[in-house]
Amino acid sequence: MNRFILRLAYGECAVFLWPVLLILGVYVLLVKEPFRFFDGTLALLACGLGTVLGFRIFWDGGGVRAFLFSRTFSPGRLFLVRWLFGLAIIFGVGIIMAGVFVTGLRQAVQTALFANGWFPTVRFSETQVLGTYVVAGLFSYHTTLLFVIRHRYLGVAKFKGTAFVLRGVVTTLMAILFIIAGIFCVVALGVDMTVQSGYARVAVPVLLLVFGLPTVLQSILVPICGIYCYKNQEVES
Amino acid sequence: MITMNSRTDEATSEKAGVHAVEFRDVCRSFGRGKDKTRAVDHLTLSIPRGSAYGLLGANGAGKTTSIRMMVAHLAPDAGTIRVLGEPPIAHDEPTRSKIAYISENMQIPHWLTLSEAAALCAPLYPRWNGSLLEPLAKRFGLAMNRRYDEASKGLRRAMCIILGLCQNAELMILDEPASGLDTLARRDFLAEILDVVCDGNRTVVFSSHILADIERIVDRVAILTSGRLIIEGELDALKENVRRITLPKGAASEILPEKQDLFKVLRTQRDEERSKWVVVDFTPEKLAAFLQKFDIADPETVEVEGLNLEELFVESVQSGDANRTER
Repeated sequence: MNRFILRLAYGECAVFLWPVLLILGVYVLLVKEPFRFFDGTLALLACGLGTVLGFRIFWDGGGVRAFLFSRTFSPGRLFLVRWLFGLAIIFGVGIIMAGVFVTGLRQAVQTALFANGWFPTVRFSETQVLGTYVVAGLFSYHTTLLFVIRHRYLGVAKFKGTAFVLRGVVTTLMAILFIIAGIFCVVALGVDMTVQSGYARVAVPVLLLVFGLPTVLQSILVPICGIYCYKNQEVES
Repeated sequence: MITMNSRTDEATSEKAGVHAVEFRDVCRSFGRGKDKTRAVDHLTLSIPRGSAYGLLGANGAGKTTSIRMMVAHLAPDAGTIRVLGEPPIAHDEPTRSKIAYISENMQIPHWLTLSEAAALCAPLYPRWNGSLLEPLAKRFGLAMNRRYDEASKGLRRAMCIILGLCQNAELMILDEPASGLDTLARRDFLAEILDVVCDGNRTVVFSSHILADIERIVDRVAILTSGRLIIEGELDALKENVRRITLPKGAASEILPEKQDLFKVLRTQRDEERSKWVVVDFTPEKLAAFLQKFDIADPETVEVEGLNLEELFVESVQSGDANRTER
């Protein structure tokens, strides 16, 4: 059963996933400045990864949903396995990135290509950027996923007008925060990810508060909401 | 609602015990306020295990809504539904593996081929019959390694049908499954369904606009109009007992159906020349009693004709529409 769900989830997102991973991999290996606690570009790439996963795994056409929801597994299991698949990819990429830093692969590439004088000093300290990657990836994944589920669930549920808007308020607010954060990362902190700028000392703690805590809450609430929506949504035939 | 069963049929149903599908006073609406539409309106019906059951109705009659509630794709607003003894929403995975559902708009993930889809589905179904896969693919003219999105509309439909048939399910629920198939493919599909029907231990619920298909496959039908059940029962019994009686001009044509208690009248039509009644419990003895009661001197002037399924369907739907207008 899980193999069925996982195979379909992978099949849906593979075409888009590998290019994003390739770009991420190239960036991690080739950027010359050492990674510090926060990196705007890496955060944006992680958001791209999370968004791709959220849309591709969970956005089923009506006819495909009729096929999926008629199989033997319960709607709850379908959601959980899909959600965990996305999480596994995000954390898996994070583990690979950690491996790239810790094993010295990045150091080897930087030394060979650029004779980068920062290495080996920063080889292990660069792992601090993984926090940014994980938070950005998880936040974007869960926000996208909630959007998709909300669209599917509320789109056909018996809620119109005010009720429809209210039920979508939380997801809408998260999406707005997501977009603002994306703009902030690029504009305020710069694509060249130089975190010694004056903004960083204020921005980083703010970002942690604004995104870190909601990310933890999302990780708890998303499976609860997702299973509820999957069990109660109306499946087109 | 009119139910027609043969005595043998009723005895068999009772003996069989649990029905495959049961609806008890089920309602389902869509929309709100002025736009609210009642798609299923206090529907009560039972589908015996081992039967081939046809659901008929015009567009918007409630067939698809009823079927979607059977497979838990929709929840009813009121009433209870039991499929294989349990509410669909409560089905566990072993119970779900006993149900095959094929609908008109069902699609497989576009990048899957038939062989890939079968390889994924097979472990889900303990009764999976993989030996049907290649013969069915050949019969429908479908290549095993062709992607779903590379196939024509008819072949995509065939792919869904083949996967459904290979499930070898105890209960098959088919909602316009042959839509999009060409004539030959539809004939092949019906032949496969007939094999399932003849099994005797499996139940088929079949909804289609093509009455000829329904007539070929099913042994019981239910005709819905505007979400309500108009007539239901064994197909042979319906054909035997439903007749159109034409009463000639004169005193006979002035007889009102409600003034007699011999026949259950489904629908009446009157014009200047004659009056036509569609009755659901015709017997020659009742006709003789009717003629005597209303002093119809020349019985030859009273025409009695049988109805085929299409005519029965039309009369039932128009009867339901008339009742709805009166309400």
